[in-house]
Formats: sequence, C-alpha cells, structure tokens
Amino acid sequence: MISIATYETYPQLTREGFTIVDFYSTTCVPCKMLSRILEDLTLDYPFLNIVKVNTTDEPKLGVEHQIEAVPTVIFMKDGQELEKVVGLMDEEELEEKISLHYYG
Amino acid sequence: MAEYITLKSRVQSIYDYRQVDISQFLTGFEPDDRQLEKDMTRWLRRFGKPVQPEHLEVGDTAVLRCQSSLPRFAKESVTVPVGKGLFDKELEKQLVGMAVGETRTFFTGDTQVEVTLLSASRVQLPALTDKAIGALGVEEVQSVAQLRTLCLKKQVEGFLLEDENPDMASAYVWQTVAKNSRFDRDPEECRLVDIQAEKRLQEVEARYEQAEPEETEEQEEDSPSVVGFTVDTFRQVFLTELDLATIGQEMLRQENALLTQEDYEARLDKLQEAYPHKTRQELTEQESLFRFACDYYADVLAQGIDAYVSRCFIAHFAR
Repeated sequence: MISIATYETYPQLTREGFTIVDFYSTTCVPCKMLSRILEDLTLDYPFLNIVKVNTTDEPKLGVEHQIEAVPTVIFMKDGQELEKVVGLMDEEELEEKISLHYYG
Repeated sequence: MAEYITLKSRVQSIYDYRQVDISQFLTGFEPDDRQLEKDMTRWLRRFGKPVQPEHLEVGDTAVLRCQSSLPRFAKESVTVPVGKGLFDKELEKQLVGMAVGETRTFFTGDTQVEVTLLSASRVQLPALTDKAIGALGVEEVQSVAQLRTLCLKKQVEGFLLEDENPDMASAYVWQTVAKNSRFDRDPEECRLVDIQAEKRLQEVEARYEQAEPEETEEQEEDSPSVVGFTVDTFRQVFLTELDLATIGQEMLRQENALLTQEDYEARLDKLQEAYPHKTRQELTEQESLFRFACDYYADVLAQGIDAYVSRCFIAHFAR
C-alpha cells in the first residue's frame, strides 16, 4: 500500500512494522522513475508499506530526516531508521533491500 | 478578492509550442518484450481474484511460522512471496506443495528450519484473451492489443524519463518558442535578473573554490568549472526564463489561475517550518516574490512543453 504522508500523519504511517519511505519532489525526474518502480513493487508485494513524502510540501520532514537530495529512500522498522539510500534505485536493488531489512 | 501576483514583463506574441517539429529527436527507443510481458501480467493482477490454494505453488503468497537457531528463520509470522527468493531461495523452493496447517522441516545450507504454513493466498489472473479483458470493463483497454499498447506506452514513458533525447527535444522546443515569440521586458525586472546572475556566478565560483583538492581525475572532470562562465552567461539563462515565464503567466491568466499573494505566503510558511531559525525577512530574500513568480510561471510552460514532447514520442513509438 502506498500512502502520502504529511507532517501530521507521518508518525502514524511509519510507527509499526517495515516501511519504505520515499522522499521526493515533483520536479525531479529520478523521483518520477523511482515512483513508478515503487508502484510496480506494490503489485508484486502488496504487503509492503510504502510512505511517500513530498519534500516541497513537507520541508520540515525533509529537514528532520536530513534529506539533502531527492530521491532519498529510508528503510524503517517500527519507526526506527535502518538504512538511508540517496539516489535512484532499480527494482532489483529495492528487492535486495527488502530481503535484507524486511526479512533480516 | 484575491490579490494576484504577476510579472510586469509581458509577452507580445506567442509562438505555439505545439507547432515545433521534433521529428529529428524521435529516435532511440527499443521495446523490451520481457518487460512488456511482465507489465501485462502486473496489469492483470489488479483484476485478479484471490483464492486459497490447497497446495503452495510458485507465485503464491505464504504466511509462515518459522523456528530455527538463525534469527532470520525464527519468526512467529512472516509473509513470503513464494519463488521470488527474497526470504530464502532454497527454502522457498522446498515450500512448494505444502498445505495450510502443515509443518515440515527443511534445510537451507546447513541451517535447519521448521516451517508451519499458517495461510496461503493466490491471485487468479484473468485470461489473456480479448473476451476476458473486455469483460473487465476498463474503457481504454478492451483487448489484448490495447493492453499491449498501454504497457508499451508505459515503456515509452520510462524511456522519456531516462533518455536524453526527450530532454533535448524539450530544450529545442523551449528555445524555438523563446526565439519566435515577442516580449516586452520590464526594466526593473531586468535589473533583478542582473542581480540574480551576479549572485549565481558568485555561488558557482565559491563552489569551485571549495572543491576538494585531492580528487581523482574522474571526479575532477565532473566538478563545477567556472571556465567560460561570466555574468552574461547567467543573465541570458535568466532572461530567457523570464521571457518564457510571461508565456506561462499568460496561459494561467486565460484559465483564471494566476498566483496569489496567499500562494506566496503559503510558500514562505513552508520555508519557515523548515528553517525556524530564519526571520521572515531572510526567507523573502532567500525566495523573493519575483523569483517565486518567475519559477512558477516558467514551470507552467515547461510542463506544457514536456507533455507535448511526451505525446509526440508516445504517438510515434507506442503503436
């Protein structure tokens, strides 16, 4: 499932279980590519919790998570950051991270 | 009544971007048949019917309880797409054939894992026939051929994001529009452009000076360089942006959707949230009203041009 987070809803959306957080901006081309890949992934893995944060609309979340470039993906478990990856990831790389963090 | 934010510069005559011929850029796309098949299956998945399988097969989703001395395989409940290999390739192969409620002991490498299948689900896809696809009731996809075109379109859209040809086509359209339209630039806004150009040159020079001295040769090639950059380089870029912003402004004026003071205040509020230590004055210097309007209106035209270029590529390749 993909959710769009605001500053208010973010804690609730990322509090439990494994979450992939995608920090993006609407004008960034790699962000659009990553967004398509994530949408495809949810069709293959509907149990994934994907949360998207538009850094233009929610700059405070960007600052709090020290987002210096987009796209940035944070893999989280029960609200705790496991890994932060800056830049575009392809489908295989994302699957590797899921294998590592969701099942690890 | 809303107080609109407008540029004082004006466009006198607009060259319609849809007149620009970009056929010279329509090259480079090759369809990926394997990906096409995958995307068609994914599309069908949206209409799949969930069923409970008697025995696990590759492609099913299993919820397992695993017991093992290795933490990775010691879980009360874990969801596994069977055969994808994300959990464990070797183990997933051995799951095939298990029934719900059944417990089996497997080895993956030297590790022993006791697995109980708690539940299983399977998505039964609609058949890949015109009749089955037509029955889904999706207006734009009534046949296998239309589904293929839709998925091919997706590939072309991916190509549009990745390849430099569409960007070159957009830049070409942008330049052609700028060259063939007529503008009336406001002197005060031209002065703001000059200030902006000087500031940008200083930023680039500062970045260049701060570059690490012990970089590798490859990194050095990618480092920003001030060679050949002058204030005029940036002035031209920003003046073109101002010109094209006046077209974007005109497009929005016709739709009655010009920026308002409230939009600017909302932008400053967002910036304030991100930089609470900064004063309002500092934020308005960081993002001036002129810059805000110029960027916004230029982006309106840029989006129109990008959409036009996308349509041309899709019409050419996704047939």
